Amino acid sequence: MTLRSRSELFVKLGVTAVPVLIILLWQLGAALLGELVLPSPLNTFSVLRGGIIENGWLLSDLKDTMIELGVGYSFAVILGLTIGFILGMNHFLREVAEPFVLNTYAIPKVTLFPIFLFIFGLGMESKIAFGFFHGIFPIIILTTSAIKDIKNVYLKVGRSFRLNPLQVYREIVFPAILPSLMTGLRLGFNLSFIGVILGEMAASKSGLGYALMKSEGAFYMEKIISIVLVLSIIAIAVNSLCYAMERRLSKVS
Amino acid sequence: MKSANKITLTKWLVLVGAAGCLELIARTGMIRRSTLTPVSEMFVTLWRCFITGEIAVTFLQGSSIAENFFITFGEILLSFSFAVFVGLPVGILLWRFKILARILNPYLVSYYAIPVFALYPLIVRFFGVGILSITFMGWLFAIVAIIINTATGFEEVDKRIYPQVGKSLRLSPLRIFLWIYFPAATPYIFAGLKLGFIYSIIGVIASEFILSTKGLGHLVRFSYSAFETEIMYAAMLLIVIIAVLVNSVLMRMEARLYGRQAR
Repeated sequence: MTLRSRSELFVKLGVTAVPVLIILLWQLGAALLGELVLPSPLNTFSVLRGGIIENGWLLSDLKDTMIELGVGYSFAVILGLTIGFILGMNHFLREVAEPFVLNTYAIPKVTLFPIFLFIFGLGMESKIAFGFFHGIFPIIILTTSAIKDIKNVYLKVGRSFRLNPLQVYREIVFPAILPSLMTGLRLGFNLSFIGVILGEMAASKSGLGYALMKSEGAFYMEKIISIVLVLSIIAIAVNSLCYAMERRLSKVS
Repeated sequence: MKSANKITLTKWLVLVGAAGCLELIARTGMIRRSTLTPVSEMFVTLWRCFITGEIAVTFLQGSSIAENFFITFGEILLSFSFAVFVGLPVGILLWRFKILARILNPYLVSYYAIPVFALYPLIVRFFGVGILSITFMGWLFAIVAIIINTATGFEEVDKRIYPQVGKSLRLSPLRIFLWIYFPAATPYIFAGLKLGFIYSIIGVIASEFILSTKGLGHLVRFSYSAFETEIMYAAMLLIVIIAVLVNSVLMRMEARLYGRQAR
């Protein structure tokens, strides 16, 4: 028991040591290469703090990115769940749609971005549509397979209890698919996020991806690293939250 | 059998129908030619650019679509091979040293949540615009999938009885590894390699699209900004064909591999 808790402690120490090690290496790199090539962590953090608190160079781009992500992802969730439900219930449609859905997943979608620009223009709409286009596929795939894989026994139990269709959904189908639904929503968020950032990097007038590509002048390296940090923190925060929920849900069911 | 035929028929009908609709919309002029070229002309342009090279030469100042294709292809192969050379040993290392795996696990799991492409401007700052930066992005995108799947694959073998059989046959550790662990872990390793290859393709082409001077991704971007819609759609079509082809071949290989394991 003591041996196990000691190794447990060691792992926890190791997990916290990783970011510390990265910052140390970063500091070392900055010292070796010079501030102009790689700014030190301290300077970067002060620029980042300025971007959020003092002069706010980061906030308006952050706001635009979050709006694009929020709207695009919401559409992806609503349509993805709906299509996933339909494909999960209907064998024929599922078989027909499968190769299209799976292959679109493998295409480097960013090369299709000019089509979005043609339709929606340079503004936020094209980024919203692109985030939607990235995020919807994992949601469809995981919803479909979750519904397809519901054990028939569960449904038989429902029938023997004479549940009506609404009750079947609420009491059996929904709890059974919830864990993989959560996974799909999490992966969908990640891809929507990548889609929005990629779109902004490729062609845009605002947003963090745009700021990444257009940063120049004083402190531009600090700004680029700050943006990467902000994006990573958002991504990791959302994912840890979803991950914790997924684990709790799969324990319950 | 009959319903399988019906499904295949419907798939093709959907594909052909969609292409036909686009063709019709472009031909009737509902959408201008400068925005959408008819699907049939995309194929013709692709053929004329890629095989005979008659269009591309003047437009791209001497470099043909074929040349850009080979540059992209080389970057993908390079980034994927490096990802395999580093990813497989690291995966095995994580399996051998459980403590290391447990320390790195939270980071590996959330790796693909981070928009890795945001690092591209930084990487360009260090390596310059060119093959090195793009290959690095492909590598960065592919490697973690290979590491995770390799480690998982070997761990799964640990849970089975195969290693005990090897021990009772008094095989040397090396032979146990080569004859038992490696073959038994193949489906997982292959899944990792498959994912890694697709990620290499995406990483390379997306980086080319965002910022570069050569390659298929750049070709799409460049012809978009130069209002060369025909060439843009031809290059898009080529990329989609490559991705779908690679994906289908890999899925088929995977199905075979899993099939053999199950038997």
